[in-house]
Amino acid sequence: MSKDIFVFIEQRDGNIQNVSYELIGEASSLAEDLGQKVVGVLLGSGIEDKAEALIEYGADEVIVVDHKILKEYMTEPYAKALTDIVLDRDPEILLIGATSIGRDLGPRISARIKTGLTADCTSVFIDPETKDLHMTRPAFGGNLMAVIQCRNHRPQMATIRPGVMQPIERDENRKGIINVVDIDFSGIGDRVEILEVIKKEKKSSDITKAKYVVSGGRGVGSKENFDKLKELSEVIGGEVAGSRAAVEAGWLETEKQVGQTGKTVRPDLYLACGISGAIQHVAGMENSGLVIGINKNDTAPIFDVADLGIVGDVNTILPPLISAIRKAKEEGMDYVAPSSNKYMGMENILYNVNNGIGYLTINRPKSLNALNRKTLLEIGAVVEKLEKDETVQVLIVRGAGGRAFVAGADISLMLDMDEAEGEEISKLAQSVFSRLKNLPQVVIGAINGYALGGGNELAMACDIRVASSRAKFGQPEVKLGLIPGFGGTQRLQRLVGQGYSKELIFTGDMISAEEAYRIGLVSKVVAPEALNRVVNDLAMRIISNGIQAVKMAKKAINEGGCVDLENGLAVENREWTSCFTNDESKEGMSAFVEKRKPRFKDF
Amino acid sequence: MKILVCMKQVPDTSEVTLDPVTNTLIRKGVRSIINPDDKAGIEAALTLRDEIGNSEVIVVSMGPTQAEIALREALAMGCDEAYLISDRKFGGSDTLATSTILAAALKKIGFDLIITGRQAIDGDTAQVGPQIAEHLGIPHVSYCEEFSYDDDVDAGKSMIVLRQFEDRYHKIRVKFPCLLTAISGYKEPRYLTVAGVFDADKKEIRRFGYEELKNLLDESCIGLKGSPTKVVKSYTKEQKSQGTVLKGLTNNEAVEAIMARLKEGHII
Amino acid sequence: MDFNLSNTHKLLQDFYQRFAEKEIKPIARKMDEEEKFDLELLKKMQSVGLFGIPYSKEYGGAGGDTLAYALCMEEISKIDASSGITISVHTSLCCSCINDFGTEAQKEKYLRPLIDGRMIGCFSLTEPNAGSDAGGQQTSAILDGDSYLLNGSKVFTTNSGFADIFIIFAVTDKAAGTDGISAFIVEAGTSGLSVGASIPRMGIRASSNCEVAINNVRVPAINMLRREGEGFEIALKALDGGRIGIGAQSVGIAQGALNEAMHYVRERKQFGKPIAAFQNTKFKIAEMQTKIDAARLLVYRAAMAKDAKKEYSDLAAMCKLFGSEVANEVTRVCVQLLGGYGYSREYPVERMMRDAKITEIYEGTSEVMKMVIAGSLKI
Repeated sequence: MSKDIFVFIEQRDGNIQNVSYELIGEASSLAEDLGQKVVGVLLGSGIEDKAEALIEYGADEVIVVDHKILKEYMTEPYAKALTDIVLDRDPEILLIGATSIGRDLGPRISARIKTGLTADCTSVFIDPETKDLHMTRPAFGGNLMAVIQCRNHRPQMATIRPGVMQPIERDENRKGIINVVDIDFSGIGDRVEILEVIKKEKKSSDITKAKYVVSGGRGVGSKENFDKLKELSEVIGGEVAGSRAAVEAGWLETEKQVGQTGKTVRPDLYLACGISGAIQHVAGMENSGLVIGINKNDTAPIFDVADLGIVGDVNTILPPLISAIRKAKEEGMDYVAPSSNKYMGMENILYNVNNGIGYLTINRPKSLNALNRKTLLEIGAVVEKLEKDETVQVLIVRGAGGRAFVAGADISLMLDMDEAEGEEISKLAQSVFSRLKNLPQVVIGAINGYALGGGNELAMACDIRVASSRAKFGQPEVKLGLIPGFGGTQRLQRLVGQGYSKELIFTGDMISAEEAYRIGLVSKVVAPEALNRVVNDLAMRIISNGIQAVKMAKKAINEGGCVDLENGLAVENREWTSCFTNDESKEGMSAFVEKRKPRFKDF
Repeated sequence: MKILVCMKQVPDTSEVTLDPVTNTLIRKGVRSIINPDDKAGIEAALTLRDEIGNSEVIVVSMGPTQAEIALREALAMGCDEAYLISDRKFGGSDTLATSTILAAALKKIGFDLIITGRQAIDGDTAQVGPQIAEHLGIPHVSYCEEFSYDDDVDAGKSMIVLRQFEDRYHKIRVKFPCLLTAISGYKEPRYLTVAGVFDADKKEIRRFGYEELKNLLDESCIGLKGSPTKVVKSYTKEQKSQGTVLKGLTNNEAVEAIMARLKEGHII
Repeated sequence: MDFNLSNTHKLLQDFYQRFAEKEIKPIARKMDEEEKFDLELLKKMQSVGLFGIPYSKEYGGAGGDTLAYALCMEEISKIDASSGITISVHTSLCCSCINDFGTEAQKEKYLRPLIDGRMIGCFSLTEPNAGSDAGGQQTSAILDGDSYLLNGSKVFTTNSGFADIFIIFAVTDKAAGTDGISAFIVEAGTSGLSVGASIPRMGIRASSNCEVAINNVRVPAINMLRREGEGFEIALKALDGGRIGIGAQSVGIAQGALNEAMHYVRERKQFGKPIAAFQNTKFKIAEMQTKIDAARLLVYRAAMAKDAKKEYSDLAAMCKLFGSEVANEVTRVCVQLLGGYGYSREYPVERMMRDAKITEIYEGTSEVMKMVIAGSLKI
């Protein structure tokens, strides 16, 4: 029977490529779901000593073929080696990086062993019921996402885009098997021959072909300032472009102009610096991927099309941005927290505030963000602060790293607990979660991965839950001889009903994000890469409403959930009445009558 | 020399947009084109034909009857013959089944050299070329930029190509028969000419269906049945919604906010 | 009755469209502002066969038909009317005279290089004092041995700035009125033939359009088309065919402006919504597209009649009369839809509005078209 997740390890000049570490990270999570192993296949010449690192990054076994014919990539020797190994070991899944090597090798092998291959995947997961691999890939120039399966053939092959998966933390103590094998290359022949290897320096300066475009407008101010944009574009490996104003000022060549009278670009990143974003400029960049705008004027129309707008002076923001990117590039693959910790003394969580949104990140990715006492206390401290903080309107709760929201309570710490300690930890968690639930702010859980046991209980204490398609939910306590103790037996039944709640708790089964959506445990399921954006947008949409009213509505719903209908209606009546005592409702209703947008921010 | 070029008619994906209300693809009014990498392959083949002399370029496309117009365009660019591989039995084929069918057709037509595009812009898989080569048991080189013919006394008739990688090129010699996959962007493909269009109009587009290829095909390996991969679901990407505008930040906070987005988008 | 284009015509239409978008669109504004046709572009258009569309392969043409030519005029003019008229004057005025009335030797010597892309032709009929009244020619041609000596002056000769071949109309018999007009093939560079500077104009500013001075220009008698006195008939026949091209050009200008406007109104937001959401915008666009389609069908009808060798001069006049009016109305409304931006040179609709005006004037004014149509109705 087919088993194990095989990863083709790509090396160039003996250096293992980042995509291979990413794939091992992803393979580890698939292997966990299947109860199987991660096997790296490392082909090359003089590379045997590189196998150790792969184990430290999560491979259980590395198969090494070290032969001089494998020094530079050539289709046939690589295809022969990998095919022989696959036929010998019969893997369940074979993952290959979607690079110009992987996209050459993958199809050749799939045709040789007659199995399916899904190209350029951006996410993969195991179907909890059939145990088949679901592979998601973009098509139609990225306009359409397709979910693909390969049910009846093994291995299930996928090439995966570099940069979309997360490697796991390197652990130098991790143990694994290194298995050096010999492959018979005698039949390869001389039909294909590399005459010369030419290292590439060539770079296109065509802005329409650039992946990243740093673009400047009148706000850049001078030709000298434009040099900073050029520097930034070099640091990220993109091209510099500009608006008509920048070209006419002589800061930039005509062929770098974007817009109605210039070129139309659609890069993955369009960073608009000091560009107001008049309609004739937007015409040339509106189909770009991520649009970031920096402009002094907060009414600049570029902010209407930007995913992220920064009101500020581009000339003072760019220099520290360039250094930050340089630093991040040097640090390479190390995990970098999405935001800095503004509260000293906290070890296990990150908390920061941006524009009325608080971000609370459980930051123990090595332990899959498991909850221990300290983490609970730190969450409690943030909650306490928030109870009095009127500048924050929405709190987003999330987990660091790519794999877990919170995988549960930290079992190793509970192992030696006695009855009293057990009681105490449950009370602590229950009270922290209840206070979280009753915060005046709206609390949104961004569930990026495992939300199990205490993790699911934390998620349920949020007002709204949005899940990544990779998220998994469950209350597996009974498997450990425990029951949910952080609110699970109570909150789950209130969300999904007693029947399903009992099934989940009695079986301890894990369910997929789709299933969680179906039963109403989460209100949205989105692609993993879209999770942060969707949650942010949700928060912004809530904030743009009358926030006092939102708070009163939250209070009415929360209180109403604990009492019978008659009393609930009384609560509603009380909150409704109090709406009339604030100016927000007056503004909202007059705006409606006057057919204009309300200006809630002023109240 | 007999040069076969595989090509596909594709919707111009740069014109595909999403309906903001229904969040579905708007395909109406989107023009169909010869897939750009395939067009680069046609250009490479025509240039080779003119260089080598005494050669013919034959274009082959698998698709519905509407794909005829794309084949006519190839003829108008100067290709000598065109084949449409079309049959209801071929419908629903994934890349493996498609390459199986195309390999059978190419074998029936006969060839010295096969050129395909690296990938099609509607599927972007880059699989069909290498898979055809595997089915035919010939070597392939993908991601080719430059093509030249070489008739070396020792090495024999071969192609010398520049194979592109992210960080390097390989200059590769590959002996006939072989398959090369071409990348667009290296050389601007020629325009068709008006005269070419009217000449093409007089040419017949030959058709192969299942009947013509059945001796070379195993029915269980083609069409929906013969496709190991199945699309179980497709959805349009989350609509881009209103962005976030941040005011009153310090420079460091601004940098932090930008860095977070760049990391999220795997840009750094 | 089939309103669909054949695959061949669809393929051509798509090709013209892409060629215009890629090669002409990026330089159209520059050519207009510099009032100069880009000679590189001219070469590119020649190399893909845009200057010999409806002519037989026998002489190096593309072997196409009038419909294929009309589609070209429409698609090229959608992007730039100046490029359109450059093709039109060459194809339907200059080349048609030689194709329809030239001798074997004339065709071999002149038609071949004109339609296979080596030479550009022009057509010198209009004079300072002979516009709509083309019969009032004053340029004279006097037989002198085995050649004619031509004297006079022509005005508004499109393509004359870079043409290799001129069709010049001149009076060989003053007493005979229009029956005394003859047509000559004259090579550029012939002594005494001088081309002035381009005349400053409101629209189609990139096209070359000059005064031509003719002082003792000696033209071999074998370069006369047909016989003495047949020139006026040749001119009228050429103009009949040319009008189909101008009708198509009008449709192109109108559709080009409407396409720009449709794109703009979807993007442009005022009062909190795209201006496309306003009923005023929708209704205007609906009306304009309907008129453009009507004009287009008139063009196709005339082109198909010509290809079927049926009488078409009234049909050609109708398609030009209606098409040119539609082009003027549509471009004006489109400028209005774009508002201030429409009036600015950053958007092409103001150029299209300026360009549209000439379609009501050249190759027979709207008034002349009405005379032709009324004449065919025998009222």
